[in-house]
Amino acid sequence: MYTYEDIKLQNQQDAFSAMYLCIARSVTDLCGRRVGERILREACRRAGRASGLQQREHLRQAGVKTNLHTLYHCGRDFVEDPRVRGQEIFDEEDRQIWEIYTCPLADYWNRRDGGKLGSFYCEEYQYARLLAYTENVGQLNLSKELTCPRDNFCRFSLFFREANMSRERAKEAFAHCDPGYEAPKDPPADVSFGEGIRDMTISIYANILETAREICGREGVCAVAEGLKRWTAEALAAMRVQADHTLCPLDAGFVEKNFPLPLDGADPAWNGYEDEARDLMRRLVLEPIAAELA
Amino acid sequence: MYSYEEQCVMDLSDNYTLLYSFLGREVLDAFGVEGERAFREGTRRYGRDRGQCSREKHQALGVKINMKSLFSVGGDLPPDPRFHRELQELNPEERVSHTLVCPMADIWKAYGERAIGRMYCEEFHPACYNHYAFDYGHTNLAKTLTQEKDEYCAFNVVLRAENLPEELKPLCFAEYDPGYVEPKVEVPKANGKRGFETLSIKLYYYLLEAVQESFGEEGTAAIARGLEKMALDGAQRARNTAKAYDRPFDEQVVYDTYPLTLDPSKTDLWEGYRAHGAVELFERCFVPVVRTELAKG
Repeated sequence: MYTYEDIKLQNQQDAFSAMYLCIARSVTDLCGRRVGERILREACRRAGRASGLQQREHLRQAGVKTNLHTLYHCGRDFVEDPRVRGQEIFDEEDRQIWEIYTCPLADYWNRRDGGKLGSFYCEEYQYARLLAYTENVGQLNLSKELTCPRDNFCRFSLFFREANMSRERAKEAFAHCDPGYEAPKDPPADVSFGEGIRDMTISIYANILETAREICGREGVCAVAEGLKRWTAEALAAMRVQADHTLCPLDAGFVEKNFPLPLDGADPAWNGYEDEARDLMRRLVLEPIAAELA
Repeated sequence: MYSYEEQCVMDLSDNYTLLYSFLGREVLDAFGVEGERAFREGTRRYGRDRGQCSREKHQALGVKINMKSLFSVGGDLPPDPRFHRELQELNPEERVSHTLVCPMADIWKAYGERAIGRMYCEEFHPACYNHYAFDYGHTNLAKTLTQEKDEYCAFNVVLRAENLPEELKPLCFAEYDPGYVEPKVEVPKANGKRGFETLSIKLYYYLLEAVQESFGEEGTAAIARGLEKMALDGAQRARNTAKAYDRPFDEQVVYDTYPLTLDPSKTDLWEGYRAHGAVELFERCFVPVVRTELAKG
């Protein structure tokens, strides 16, 4: 049983999952199955790479060693949904191994026959993130994934071996390679759940749009736009049910707590992304939702 | 009880596996993390060589360079009766399998060298499989018998067509090559002696090369010590097999059970792997130890 506060986070997470699936379906329907896959995989890699680079810079500036422990435990740009259940098997600076037994992303996609599309995200995002963070030295192994019908858990094994990096990188990564190093007294805190899911939603969407345009031109943009329209309809339907189930009015206050994006579209989280990404989202998703509330 | 022939294949396999840990132990003891750096690099070079040889062989046969071909056409690792694998999926984009029993992991553990075995698992598999696929493959080995707490190896080796550049797609996947007719090929798998000797020469060669590059003469000396120790161990293992099968401990048993032939001039497998004084070092450090043991009986 989850609390009302937990449920709001879950609703935001599910809205992200819905967005990915709506756009992914639209892109593969309209651009072709194979071309759509190329777009989605490349977009997930770009988003993962951006996250890894940002995390590395963030930790560097805070004076934190940039190793695998800190990648997943310090100043994170994303916080798990309360429904994630897993087991950490090794939490070390050069080795991270964990298993996931319940994943709300996989649950959402699998229930809607979207596991295959979801697997593009699973295979590409964390791998690209790790490579960016470790300057291509790290290894990521994902032998089991919940988006695969064969599997009933995810298994991640990541390695970042001192012997595979330069001495300079080792000094930056590991305290034992940097005599005299003192860890900061106040290491960076994780972002809030809301900030994390907002940024993830924008990043994945904007990267799909950018990649679709690069590969398919305006047809690619149209395919993403069609996906956004589907998402708007699904998001509104979902929020009506969610509001009803929690005895809340479907108003701006509810949307703020249960939807990953601010409706005014002026959030600074959009900075750094192309204008067309924000404009399309505003016209096709945020304004229609706001209009429905009015 | 295994037949003598089966026992010899297992000995060949074990001795090939132990070559890695004997050389690795000397290099790690001598040079610490810097030795590990060179050793991992040598392992990657060895993996890339095997991946490239498999790819060139497959291209010559006219088969597509993909996961199905990699794991079903030929194969350069001779079979060992103790391996127990369960195939979960094999198609051009992915090969998913579990290894429930791995004699390599077992022998490293038995010799107290699981950590060295981990280096092999971490470096060899991605280097070999990814390089086979023009470096666009992704080897996922998230569970490994060389890792504590793991009960099997979980291989998920993938080559996603849509992660390839356009020019490679027709080389790798029939669906991007209209008119392609799959050739009927029957490629024998590598056999015991010749197969393991090929792998052992390559493994030794690339480890020597990488260690020499990093440490010069001191590196060569470390490899030399490893050769002497593995020769002593190999001779003892041959002696054990001879005894178990009621055979004389002679050069034939050594030939049958040890992947490296004592007289390198009797094999063509060193061709291309003679640089860095590899053959001379082998003859100087490995062969005399075995001959001394043979003389003892």
